[in-house]
Amino acid sequence: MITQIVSLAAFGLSMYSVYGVLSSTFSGGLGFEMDFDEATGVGSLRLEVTPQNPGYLDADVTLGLKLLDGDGVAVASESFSAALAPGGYETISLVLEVSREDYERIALGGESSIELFLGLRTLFDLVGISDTITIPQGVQG
Amino acid sequence: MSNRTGALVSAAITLLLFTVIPLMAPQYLPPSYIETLARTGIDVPSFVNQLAIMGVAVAALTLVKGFVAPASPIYLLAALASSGLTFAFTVVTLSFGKLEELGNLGLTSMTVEVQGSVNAITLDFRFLVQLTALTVALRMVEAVFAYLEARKEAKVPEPPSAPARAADI
Repeated sequence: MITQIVSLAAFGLSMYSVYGVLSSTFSGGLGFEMDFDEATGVGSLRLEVTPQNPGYLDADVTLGLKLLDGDGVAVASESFSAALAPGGYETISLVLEVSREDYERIALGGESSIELFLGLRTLFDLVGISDTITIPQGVQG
Repeated sequence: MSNRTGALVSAAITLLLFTVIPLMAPQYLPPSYIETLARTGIDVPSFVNQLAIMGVAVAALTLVKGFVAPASPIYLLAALASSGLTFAFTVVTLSFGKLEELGNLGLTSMTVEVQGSVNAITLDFRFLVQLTALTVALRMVEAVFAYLEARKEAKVPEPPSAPARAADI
């Protein structure tokens, strides 16, 4: 009986943390900003999200961003991990820097896609969810 | 409350929770939810039917346990099967009824395609499945011990009546 109650409580608390962090991360959509610095010849892709942990358990969040060319090869990638205490939040800013050649190849007509990875583990690293979103060029809002 | 009444009440609650509510729930969900679930590869009607069938089986086993003597092998088999079904119920629920994912024991993957974007989700609930396996194993051991104890009590002979005194004869 005790293990059943522990199991149910663990499941409930884990799901609450997972749902809370995911919904706060994706609320309001994902805003990508793409810039090109003429002076340095470097293009950049920026994503900023603020996951919050409204749950009662610590949550480890990993956010990764990749820019893939038409062949699915990563042109640039960046990732960041943060531990969110209950009630805590963290603003994560990922910036991908792309050379002039790659920027022109990708931005001006070439096929490309953005791959966003969100990994989340809670309940002392025992329960987790990972979400990989692949957004082809032209679909990005 | 007698064993039989308890079994009837318990079976009724099991049927309500694991058969009636799952069968009725899809009617109350917005159609958009059902469509979203279907896009992830979750077959909602099949999932609901799996839960409902297991609910009926668990309720039937609960009734059997209430109406059979604890020293009977049928009682032991019903108790073991009931525990096994609890484990199956957990695995099926955490796999969202996806038969191809059942073998992963709590590691469930699904892919959703929305407006050209591909969303690949992996849920890792293996710990919860392992915890349930531990619970079920303990319950099975407990059922075996309870059965052995009941058998032992059933075999204890009646104490002999006091010998008649010579004076009474």
